[in-house]
Amino acid sequence: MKTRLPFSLFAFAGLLAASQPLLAAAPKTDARAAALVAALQAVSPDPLGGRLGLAASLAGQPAPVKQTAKAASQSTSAQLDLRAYASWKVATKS
Amino acid sequence: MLRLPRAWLAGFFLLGLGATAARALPTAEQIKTAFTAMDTTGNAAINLDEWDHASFALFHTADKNKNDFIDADELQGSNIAQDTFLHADTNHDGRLSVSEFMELRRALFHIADIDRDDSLVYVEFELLIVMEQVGWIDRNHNGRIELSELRESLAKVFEQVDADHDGLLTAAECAYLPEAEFKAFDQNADGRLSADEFISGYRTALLGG
Repeated sequence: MKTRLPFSLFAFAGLLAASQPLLAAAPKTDARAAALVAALQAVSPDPLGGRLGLAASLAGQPAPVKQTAKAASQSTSAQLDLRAYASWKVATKS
Repeated sequence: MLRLPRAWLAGFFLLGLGATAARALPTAEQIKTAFTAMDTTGNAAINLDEWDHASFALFHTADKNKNDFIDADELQGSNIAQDTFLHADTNHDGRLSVSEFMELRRALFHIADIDRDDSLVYVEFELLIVMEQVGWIDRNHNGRIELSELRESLAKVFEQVDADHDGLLTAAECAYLPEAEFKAFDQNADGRLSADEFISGYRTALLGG
């Protein structure tokens, strides 16, 4: 027991030391994302793309006859986007 | 919800192009900073992955209550942003999902990708930023800039950037252009850009000749 206690302490200290770069990485990654957003907002304050976004949203409106045919693929791509966004959030926070 | 005919809205949009740019264009330095921040691989081009990651960051910032939707009251901005919101909200539930937002963002990428190589070089990104304020000509409503539409779109940009409407652009009016680009466009080296110099300069930079 006498010899195991110091070993546990060393192991704990080792784990703590090893986790420091990971803990430090979170705010760094967050800061990078914040800097990216700030840089983008400086040149393009509207995340929807201003006049270009409006025109794109008008151009992108599917004709009524195509809506049903596109529904299935839109649902799949929506799930993929949601998953990709979740992964991005994890990568940015951890 | 009031649904206006698409052609009517498109006509309204084209009329809106005649208005002056809503705010001053960003400087070349600001555009360069944004481009560099997006270009995480540092290869002087933004690919779709990099574009998506930047778009996720924008979505995350706009989604203030972090419910994975941009609600109408979270979207601050001009009437243009509000109108875009209505059209981008394809399922008309009054909010933008990640997917609806990304669909619009990718449409922007494809408009800017004039040479259609699935990446944006600096000059394409720069033009995207400018066209976000001044609009572009999309006669066939396919959401892309065809070569036949490029000249007309660039002429429209020229008109909007020419603040004193004297038919020539000074370096001050073109503060969004890097100095080297301005000089490359200025074929007769008189320190001002005519519409022809502006359009042919961009065409060369975008299409290589």
